[in-house]
Amino acid sequence: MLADILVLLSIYALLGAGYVIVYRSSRVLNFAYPEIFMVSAYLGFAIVATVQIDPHAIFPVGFVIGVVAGILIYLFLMAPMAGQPVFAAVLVTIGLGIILRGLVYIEFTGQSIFPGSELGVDNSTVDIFEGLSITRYGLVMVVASLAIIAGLLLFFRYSRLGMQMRAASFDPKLAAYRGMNIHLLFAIAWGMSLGIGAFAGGLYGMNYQIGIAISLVGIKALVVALVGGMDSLTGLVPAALIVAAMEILVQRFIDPALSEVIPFIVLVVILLIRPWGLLGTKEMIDRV
Amino acid sequence: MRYIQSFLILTVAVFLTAWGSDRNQARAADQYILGLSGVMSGPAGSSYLPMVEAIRVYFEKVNDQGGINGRKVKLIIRDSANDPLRAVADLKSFADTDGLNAVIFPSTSATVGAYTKESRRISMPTIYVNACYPPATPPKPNPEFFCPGISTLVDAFTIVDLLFELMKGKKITLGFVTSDVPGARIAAQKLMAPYAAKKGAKVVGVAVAPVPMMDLVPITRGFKDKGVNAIISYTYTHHMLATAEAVGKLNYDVTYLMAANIPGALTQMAQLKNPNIHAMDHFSLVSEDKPVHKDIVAAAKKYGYDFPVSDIRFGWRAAMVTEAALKACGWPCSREKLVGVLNTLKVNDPNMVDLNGGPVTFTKTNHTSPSKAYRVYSWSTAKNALVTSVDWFVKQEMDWAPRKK
Repeated sequence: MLADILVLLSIYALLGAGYVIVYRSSRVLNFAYPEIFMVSAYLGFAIVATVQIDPHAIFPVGFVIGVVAGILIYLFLMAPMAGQPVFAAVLVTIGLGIILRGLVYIEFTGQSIFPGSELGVDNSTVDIFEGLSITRYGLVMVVASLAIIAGLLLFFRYSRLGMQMRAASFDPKLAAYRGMNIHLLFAIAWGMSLGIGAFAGGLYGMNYQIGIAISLVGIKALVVALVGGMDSLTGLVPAALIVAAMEILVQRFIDPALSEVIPFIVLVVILLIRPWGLLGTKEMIDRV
Repeated sequence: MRYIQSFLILTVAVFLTAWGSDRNQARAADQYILGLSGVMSGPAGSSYLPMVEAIRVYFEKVNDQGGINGRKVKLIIRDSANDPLRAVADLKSFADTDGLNAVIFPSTSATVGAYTKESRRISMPTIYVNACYPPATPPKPNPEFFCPGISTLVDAFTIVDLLFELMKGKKITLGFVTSDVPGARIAAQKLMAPYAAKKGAKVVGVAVAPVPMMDLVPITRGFKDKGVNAIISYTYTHHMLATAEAVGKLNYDVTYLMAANIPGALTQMAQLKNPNIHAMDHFSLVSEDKPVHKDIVAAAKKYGYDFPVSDIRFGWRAAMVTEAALKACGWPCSREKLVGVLNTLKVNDPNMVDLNGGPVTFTKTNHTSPSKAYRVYSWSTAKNALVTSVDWFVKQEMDWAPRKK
């Protein structure tokens, strides 16, 4: 059970990071993120299966697809929205999500794919210690998630680019006056965010399956980001832990049918108590 | 002068249109026409598109071999996207198509109610391609609605019987995995679990997975921790296959029995190579290489069937039944005459028996086959192939009337 919680926590934290990066930089809640997670999983698999390269290439391939898509989405959809109300940009992401979902139906017919089995990779369980056995890709997910979140924290705190991105998100006009190329910084943020989402899509597919319904994992990750605080990377870990643990415990001891609604119950409770999330900043809350 | 020019152009256009229309009618008049309204997109599309494609491939083959009674078959394919309104709109449009003989309907139960209301009103002969539900089931089927497929009611009991066959003599501690949809949930909770308990199994529980759930490891792990040694799953594709994956991931020594009438099941079993995973199926394996299998493999290759070839079987059987009905109907074949033929149809040629494990028979009181033949396939590590672990196991169709109450 601990293994199930750890794996679920990791995917939520990883995807939650994608939401937080974009929100911190541009104050936009990217509602297309769950579909981008799903589409990149399908695309990564399709490329790896068609070109017949090493199955593990699904991760870098997915990451590159995500980065490129993120930069393009920013340049062609988000940058033109500069100066418009934030909710207009949010609506654009909703529309983009619907379009992507439609394209997946057309191209892949929503078919469930099990990349692990189809590509013939070993995803059996590994015993970490007595009582904790975890699948190979589950373990990769945990390690990758920890590494990426730690890396992001260090990047935003200590790197020059990270500091510029924080400055641009705090006050874009001032940052622009000081000579920063804010469009470049925002495009990088979108690229990072979608790159992480696409990487997570590949990982999720290898560990479980790819299907239309995996976008719901992306929606639950939004819940995690909201619970942790939309501008807080550190808040992601406790939030992901709470949501994942509640979900698995309910699945195991009450009724699996209830498990999908648990994250939303957690969200409602947390928002009632702390609308800015566990470790979010009160001043950063926008009411739409 | 300009008026004369316009008049001439208009006259030529009218003439050409009329001539073209006459030619189309002439063409329509000397061929069989079938409408197909199928779920080809949306979440259920992945299950039904392989059936639609199978039917297309089958009739392309029939046409290349000279057609039926010397006449070609024209297949008009429409995507209902699992929308009952679109299915009914397709049906109405087919009804208005001159010379159309029947409709083939590979679709979910969600569309059946609306469709059959209209098909009964206009008496459109329909071959339903899916698990059979009322109004195809006995004792009072709609006169024009036929289903050569499986029966969910018989399947629910048979899958339990087959588990007992597989685990002969062993004490069974059983868990069920199903989905949070009424049909699957009720079948597991109200039919399968009590029946298994009555047969002597200790039923630990029925795990109901929400439809979007993709990871079945926690549920499977829960069964493992409770000492379950057998799991049955007869539900949505992604849940059955995800449970099969979970059994492998957890190195779980369990007898897992799922239904293989869904696309992808046998393919995935061959990928997982896990002897603990078994599949209840209604067809023979394409790899058996009998004439019908050779036909299937050749047609799939020639006419571009893009899915695993084992997924062709469900649609292929429905197409075989449709062909047999048109053949018996002769030429010309009115819809009324075709309904009469279908009500007494028996398809028992060797190809059907080899594929289906027995004939497909319709009677006035039963528009599904009275007997259903089942097999269980398992992975053999020694042979590195799928093998038959329970051979043709025949059950009779049941009376659905008490269930409707």
